[in-house]
Amino acid sequence: MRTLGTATLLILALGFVAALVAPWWGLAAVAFAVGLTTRLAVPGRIFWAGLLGGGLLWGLSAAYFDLSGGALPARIADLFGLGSGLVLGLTVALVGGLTAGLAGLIGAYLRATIQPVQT
Amino acid sequence: MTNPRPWAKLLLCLALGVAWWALLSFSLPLGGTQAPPLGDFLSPYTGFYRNNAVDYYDDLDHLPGLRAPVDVVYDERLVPHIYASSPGDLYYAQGFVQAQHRLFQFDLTARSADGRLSEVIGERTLELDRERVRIGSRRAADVIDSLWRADPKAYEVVERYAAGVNAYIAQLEPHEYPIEYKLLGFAPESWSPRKTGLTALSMAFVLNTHNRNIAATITRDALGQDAYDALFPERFRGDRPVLPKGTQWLGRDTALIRARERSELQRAVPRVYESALSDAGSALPPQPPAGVGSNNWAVKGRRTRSGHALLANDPHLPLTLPSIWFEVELHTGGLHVHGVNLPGVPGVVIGFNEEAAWGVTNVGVGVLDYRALEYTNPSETRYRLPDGTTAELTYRVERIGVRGAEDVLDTVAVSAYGPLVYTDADDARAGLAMDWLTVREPSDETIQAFLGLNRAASLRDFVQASYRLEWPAQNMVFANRDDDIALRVSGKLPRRVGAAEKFVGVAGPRAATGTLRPEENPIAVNPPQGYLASTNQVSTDASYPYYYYGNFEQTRSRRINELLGKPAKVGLEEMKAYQLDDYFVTAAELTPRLLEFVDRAGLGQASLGQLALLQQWDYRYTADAVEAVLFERWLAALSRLTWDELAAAEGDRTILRPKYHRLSELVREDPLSPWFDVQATPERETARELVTRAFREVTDEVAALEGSDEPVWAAYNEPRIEHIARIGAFSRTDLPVGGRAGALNAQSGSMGPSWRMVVELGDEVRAEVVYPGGQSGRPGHPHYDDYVGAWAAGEYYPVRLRKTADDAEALVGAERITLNPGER
Repeated sequence: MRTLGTATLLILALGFVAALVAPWWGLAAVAFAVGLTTRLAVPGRIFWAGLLGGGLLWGLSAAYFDLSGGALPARIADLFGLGSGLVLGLTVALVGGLTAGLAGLIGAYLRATIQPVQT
Repeated sequence: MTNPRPWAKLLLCLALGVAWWALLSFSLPLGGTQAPPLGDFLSPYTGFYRNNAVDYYDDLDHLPGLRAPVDVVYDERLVPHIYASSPGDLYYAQGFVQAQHRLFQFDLTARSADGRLSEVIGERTLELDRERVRIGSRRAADVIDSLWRADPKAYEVVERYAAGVNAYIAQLEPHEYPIEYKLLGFAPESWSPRKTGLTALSMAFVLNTHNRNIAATITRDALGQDAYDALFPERFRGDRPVLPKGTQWLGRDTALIRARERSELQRAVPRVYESALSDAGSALPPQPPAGVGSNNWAVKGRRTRSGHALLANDPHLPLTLPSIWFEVELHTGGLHVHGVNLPGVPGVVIGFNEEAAWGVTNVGVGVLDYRALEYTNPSETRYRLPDGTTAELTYRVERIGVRGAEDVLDTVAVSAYGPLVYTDADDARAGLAMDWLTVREPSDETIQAFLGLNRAASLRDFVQASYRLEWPAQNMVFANRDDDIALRVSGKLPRRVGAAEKFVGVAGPRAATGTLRPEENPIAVNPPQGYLASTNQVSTDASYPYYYYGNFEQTRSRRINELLGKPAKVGLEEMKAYQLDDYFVTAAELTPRLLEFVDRAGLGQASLGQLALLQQWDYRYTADAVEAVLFERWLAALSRLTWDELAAAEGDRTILRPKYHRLSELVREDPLSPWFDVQATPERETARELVTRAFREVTDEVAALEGSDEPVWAAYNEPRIEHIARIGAFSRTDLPVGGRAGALNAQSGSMGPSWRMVVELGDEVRAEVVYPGGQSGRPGHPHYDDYVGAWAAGEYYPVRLRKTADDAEALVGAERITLNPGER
C-alpha cells in the first residue's frame, strides 16, 4: 500500500517531469494519475498529498526563478495588487497545491467508485 | 467499512475541478482590463517567472542566412558592440540582438502604425486603429516597401535586418515570449521590411502630425483677423532663428525669388479663405503636447578649450520604458558608428563615427493641413480641383481585425487632397480632407539619409545624406574632426503661398506649388559666430525668401544662444551643463515685472515672504524649487484673468490661448493694453491690477506647499516614464527631476530628454551619453531601467569607439558572444 508520503513525492517528481513537456495542467494530470493509483483507507486524504506536492513544486520553482533572476516578481505582485513577491510566490504555491489536490481527489474518488476498498 | 457514496464525492470534485480549470484557463477581468489566463501565467514553467531570467548570452549557432560569424561584445551597460565582416551580416546581427531585448516594442510600434492593435487588444483600441487606417499609413507603408524593393542596395539593409529579427523569433519557445505577450495573450509574428517602414512612420506620427489650422481658423473666426495676428504672431522680437542672422541663401537671388513667389501667390490663393469652418463640430483636434522640444548644437574649435569641435544633441520625446532608443556600436569594413537607433529601424539615428558626429531636432514646420472641399453636386461626391475641373471622391475599404469580435470593414472617402478621415459631426475635422505630406508622398529615403550619416565624414557627405531626408523634417547638425560644423533644415518643406494657408481653406493651392527643392532648404556652414544651435525654433529670420509656418518655440533658442555666445571657451562639461540647464527665459523676463506690479498693501507675512523668495530666485526649475511653483501658478492665474475675452468668445468651441511668451511680452511692453481689462467689471484694469489679483488667488495654495519634504516642483510637473503598453507596474514615476517645457532641460510630464549625447571631435572621438531607461526591454531585468538614476542625477556614461571585438572585450564587465551561421 502506497503511503501519503510516497504519493506526495510522486506528485512532486512527476509534476516536475510533466512541466517540461505539458502546459500548466500537466500537474493536474499527474496528480489525477497518482490519485487513481494510490490505495488509501480514506481516499479524501490524497488531497493533502496534492496540496503539499503541487504546492512545493510550484512554490520551490517560483522561489528558484525569483531568487536566481531579476525583480520581475515584485512588479507582477504590484500589478496584481499582491503587495510583495513573497505573497505572489505563496499564491502561486497555493494555486499549484490546489490544482494537484483537486485533481488527486478526482483520481482517488474515481478509484473508490469503480473499486470500493474493503478494510 | 465501505466508503459511503464515493460517486457523490467524485461528482462534487469533478464539478469543482471543472470550475477550477475554467478559472485558470480563461481570461478574467482585472481592474478595467483582462487578466491573462492564470494557469499558464502563474505556472512557474510557462508563466511570468520564466521572464525573470537575467542571462541570455551564450554563443548562438545555426542562424540561417548569416554568412559569417559575427562577434557581439556586451559592455557592463548591456550595450552591444557588433563586429561583422559584411554590412549584410552587420544589420542581420543588429536585428537579432535588438529583437532579443526589445521584441514586444518592435511589435507594438509596427502594429500601432499599421492599425492592427485591435487584433490583439480588442475593441479598446479600435478607434485608434481606425484613425491610423483612414489616414492611410497602411498604404504609405506599402509604397515605402515597394520603393525599397526597386532599389536592391537599400533593400538589402532592411531585408537583412528583418532576417535577423526573424531568426530570433524563430528560435523562441512560448515560455520565452516577452512578459507583455503573456499578459496580453498573443504570440510574436514575423518581422518584415514593411514593418521597418511602419516604425519610421510611427515617428512621423509623433513628430509631424501636429495641426493648428483648424484651431487657428476657429480662433480667427471668433476674434477677427487683427486680434488673431496680434495674439498669435509668427515671429517675436528677440527671436533667435536656427540659422544665424546674415546666412546667405546659397547665393540665390532673393529678390527674384520673392517676386516669383508673389506672382504665384496671386495666381494660386483661393477665393475662399473665410469661415470654411462656420458649422464645424465643437471637438478640436488634439493640440501638440507641450514639451516636445529637442536641442542640438555644434561649436567650432576656436571656441573650445581643446581646440576640437563639439556637438551636442538631446531629443525630447515621450519617455517610455523600454526607451524609444537602443544604444549600439556597429562595425564592418568602411563603417564604424556608435549611437542610438529606433528598435525596428537598422543603423544608427543619432551618434558619431570615427570622423564626425550628428544630431537632430524636429522642425516644427506644418506639414499637415485640413482642407475643405468645394462640392459641385448636391450629394457632395464631386468636388472642384485647383484648375477648375472637378473630380469624384473615391472610396477605400479596409479591414480591421478585432480580438473577440467580428472584423470591422471601414470605408473612407478619399479626395485628391487626402482622405476625409473624420466623420463624427461633433468633430471639427469632420468632412475635411487631411492633407498630410508624409502619407501623400511617401518616400523610402528617410532611412537612407540616416545610413548615409552613419558613414559621413566630410561636409559633402553630410549635405548629401541630409538631402535624402524627406520626412519627418529635422534640423540636422553636424561636426567633424576637420572642425567643420553645419546645420541644415532637412526634409520636405511645403511651398506655401502665404500666411492665408494657416487657416482652413477650400482645397487648392498646395497642389499647385508642391515642396521646396532640397537646395532651397536653409543651411548654415561654419558661420562667423563659431557655433550653430537648433531648439525647434523658427528656422530663419524674415530674409528667407520662402514662406512657411509651423509650431516653433521661442525660449530655449534664446537661452542656448546666450550660453553659447559667451566669450569663455567651452568643453564637454559645459555641453552637459547646458543640456541640464533648468533656466526658463520667460520667468527671468517676467518675474521682475510681476514683483514691480504686485500691490503689497494688506498682504500677510507668508505672502510677503513668497515675494521675497521670488526676488532672490535664479529662475531655475530645480525639482524642489517652490519659486517655480509660485511663478507657474501665478502666471496661469494671470493668463486666465487676462484672456477673459477669449473665454467669452469661444462658446461651445475651444479657441486657442496665446503663448505665455506673448503674455509676458504684453505685460512688459504694453501693460495698459485693453486685453488686461476684465470685461465683467465696470472699472478698467491694467496689467498691475491683474498681476495683483492673480497673486492673491494663488498665494495661499503655494503657502501650503512650503516646508514640504517632497520636491514641490517635480510634484507639480509630474515627470514620469511610462511603460509602452501603459502597464503601471512597469513604469517609473519616482523621478525627482527639474526642468520645464521651454527650458533647455525640457522635462514636462511624460515628455523629456530621451537621449543626451555630447561629443568631442578630437584625434580620437569621445562622447558622453545617457538615456532614461535601459537596454533590456524586460521589466524587472537589472538593465530594464538602470540608466534612470544616472539620467535623473544629470550623469553621463563615457563612450569611445572600439575598433575590434578584442578592444571592446577589454571594457569593464564585457562579455563576448558569437553568432554563427548555419541551418537549424
